[in-house]
Amino acid sequence: MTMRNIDELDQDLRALVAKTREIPSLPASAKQRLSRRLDLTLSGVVSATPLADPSAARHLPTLRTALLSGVSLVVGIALGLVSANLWTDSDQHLPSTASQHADASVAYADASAKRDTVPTRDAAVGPRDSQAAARPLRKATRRASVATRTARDQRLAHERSLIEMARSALARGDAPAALEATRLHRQAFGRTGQLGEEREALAIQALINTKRFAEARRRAKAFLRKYPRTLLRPLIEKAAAAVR
Amino acid sequence: MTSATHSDATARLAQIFEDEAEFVWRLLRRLGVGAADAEDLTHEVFLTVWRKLESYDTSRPLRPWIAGIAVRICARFRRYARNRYEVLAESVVEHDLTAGAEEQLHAFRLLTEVMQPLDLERRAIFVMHDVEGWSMPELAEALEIPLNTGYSRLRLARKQVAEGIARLRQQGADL
Repeated sequence: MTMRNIDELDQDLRALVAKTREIPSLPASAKQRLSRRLDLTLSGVVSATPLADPSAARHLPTLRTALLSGVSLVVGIALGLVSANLWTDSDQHLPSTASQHADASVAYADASAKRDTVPTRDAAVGPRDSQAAARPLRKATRRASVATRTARDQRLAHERSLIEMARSALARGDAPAALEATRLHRQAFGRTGQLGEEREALAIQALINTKRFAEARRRAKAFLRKYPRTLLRPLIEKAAAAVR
Repeated sequence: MTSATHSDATARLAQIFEDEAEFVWRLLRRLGVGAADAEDLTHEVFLTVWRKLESYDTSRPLRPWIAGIAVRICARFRRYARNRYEVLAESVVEHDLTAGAEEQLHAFRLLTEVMQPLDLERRAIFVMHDVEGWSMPELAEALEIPLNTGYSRLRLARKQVAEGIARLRQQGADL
C-alpha cells in the first residue's frame, strides 16, 4: 500500500462532518468588533480590554503605553548588551563553569603554543611540532566554547519569547495571558534569568489590569527594592500610585 | 514600511479580512480554540497577515498561506498549559449557533469530542482535509510539510478519530 492509499472515512464520521460543514460560524457582531479592533491597532491605537473599575481605568491607557514602551526599550538595551557580550571572545563575565573551563583551556592552549614557539636547542621538538600538538586541544576547547554559547543563545531566546508573549498579550488586553507568561518565565528562569527586570515590570502591569491591586503594589515595592536604579522606576512608581 | 505601502497594505488587509475572517475563525474553532479566545487569535492572524503582506508571493493562493499562519498561531497559543485543553462544545451554543440548529450542534459536539485526543499537527490535517475539503498538496503547501508527512498524519488522525467514533458507539451515543 502506498502512502497515498489512505483509509476511507467511517460512514458515521462522514455524516458528522457533513452536518458541521457550515459551523461554527463567525457571529456578525464579532466580525464587526474584530474589524474595528484591526483598524484601531493598525492606526496605532493599542486595543485593550476595558476594565470594570473606572477609577483604575482612568490612569491606565497612558501608563500602559508608557510602560510597554519602557519595557521594550529596556528589553532592547538588555538584548543588545547580552548579544554584544555573546559575540566577544572574552567570556570572563559569564558565570558558567563550563565556559570558564573552556576559556581556561583556550588560555592554556594559547600559552602552550606561545611557549612552544620559543626556539629550543632540542631539534627533535620544534615549534611547528608543538603547534601541531596543541591544535586538537584548541579545536576541542573552541567547540566547547561554541556549544556553551549556543546553549546560552537558546536560553536567552526562550526567555525572550516568554517576555514577548507577555508583552503582546498585554498589548492586546489579555492580562491573564500576560500573567501566565510571566509566571512561566519566573518558573523557568527565576533569579538566574537575564530579563527578570522586564518580567517583573510586565507582571505588575498585568496585575493592575486584572485589578489585583494589593498584589501589584506589593510587587512594585519589591521591584523597586530589587532594582533601585531601573530605567522603569518612574513608570512603576506611577502605576503603583495610580492604584493606591 | 513607508506610509504609502502602509496604507496600501491596510486597504488590502480590509479586503482580505472581509473574505477570509469567517474561514479563519472557523478553522481556529475547529482546531480547538474556545469561542472567547478565537476572537483574539483571529485578530492576531490578521495582524500577522498585514505584517507579512509585503513579502507575500502573490502568485501563490492566499487562503493556504493564511491557514498556515492561523495554524502556527494556534500552536503557539496551545503551548500555554491553560489553553491546552479546549472548552467542550457546550459554550458553542451562545456564540456560534442560532436557535433551531440542535442537530448541527449535536454533531459538532460529537465531532469535537472525537477530535480531542488529536495533537494539533494531526488535527490541523484532519480538519483541513476531511472537514474543510482541502487537497493534500494544498495542505502540504499551507503547513510547509512534505506531502507524505501530510498523508501519514492524516492516516493516524483518521485512525484516532475512528477509535473515538467506536467509543461513542459503545456508549450508545446517537450518531
